[in-house]
Amino acid sequence: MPHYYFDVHDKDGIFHDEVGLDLPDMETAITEARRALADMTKEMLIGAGAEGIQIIIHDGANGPVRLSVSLETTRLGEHRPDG
Amino acid sequence: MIEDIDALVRKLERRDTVSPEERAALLAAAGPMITFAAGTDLVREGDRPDRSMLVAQGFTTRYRLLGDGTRQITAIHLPGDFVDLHSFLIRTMDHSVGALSACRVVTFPHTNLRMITERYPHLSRMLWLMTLLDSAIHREWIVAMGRRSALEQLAHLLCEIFTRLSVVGLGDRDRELILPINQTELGDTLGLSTVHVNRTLQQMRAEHLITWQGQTVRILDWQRLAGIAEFDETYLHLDAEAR
Repeated sequence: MPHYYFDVHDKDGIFHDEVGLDLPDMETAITEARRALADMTKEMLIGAGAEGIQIIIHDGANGPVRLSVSLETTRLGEHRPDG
Repeated sequence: MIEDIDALVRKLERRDTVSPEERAALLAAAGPMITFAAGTDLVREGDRPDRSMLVAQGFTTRYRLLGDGTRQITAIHLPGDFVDLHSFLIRTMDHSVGALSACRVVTFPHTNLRMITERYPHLSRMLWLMTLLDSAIHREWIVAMGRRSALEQLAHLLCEIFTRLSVVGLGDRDRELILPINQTELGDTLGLSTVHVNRTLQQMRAEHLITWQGQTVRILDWQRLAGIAEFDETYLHLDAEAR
């Protein structure tokens, strides 16, 4: 079974995966990364200041695959100057 | 054999006093010893066991499997823990118990446990206390899963396991431990994905909170780890008093 590494880029830095996981194929690795983004996004949204997370999957053979989640906050009201 | 129930006696003596008669009664109630290989089940959901099992050596988990193939580990049991004392009364297992590492367990036929409840009321209360400790730990895990971040949750679990192992004389906050639990199993315990557990462990290493090489774990900074976890050992009820 191929071995996949999942590097995480988030507000605390870049975490290079040194352990990895044995998975049948890249599709399964992407599903695993989506699951990880789901629970990491929950924490990211609660904490202040964080606006994005990326997971880059390496398998050593095919090109890496990147999954990213980002949050955008847009203030839609018109800016009213004081006074 | 006295050493097979030694961890249980240590666990009881941390909370109360075990008389020589009670110790002899526990030994007399013990049935055959069984060994299990890592990855095998001690008892399965739906089983109706006629005996309860006390872990003498090794690490075990209680777990539930879901329809989509995912697993939730609901407890980690260490030497000195009865993994299914409750099967004496609830009869049908509503979850399975699996071996994380190779395990040695002492069986206690339910007929012998009934004899203890009939002849040794204080020992019965202490065994009752053991199931209450299990539920206190469950409550703490629910709090962690519902409200703590991955870092806080993992820090809390490590503080708990080190503390519980030190109670039975198998560990120390300042010494390294063998923890036979991989990142997927940690994820199944914490309700987190394997990748998130891996990232969180790397953060702990980068912040010099722990080292984790293979199955060897050492806490480098107990104060800071316990602070992150808001670890308060009250729920482990570590005071010896008459129960």
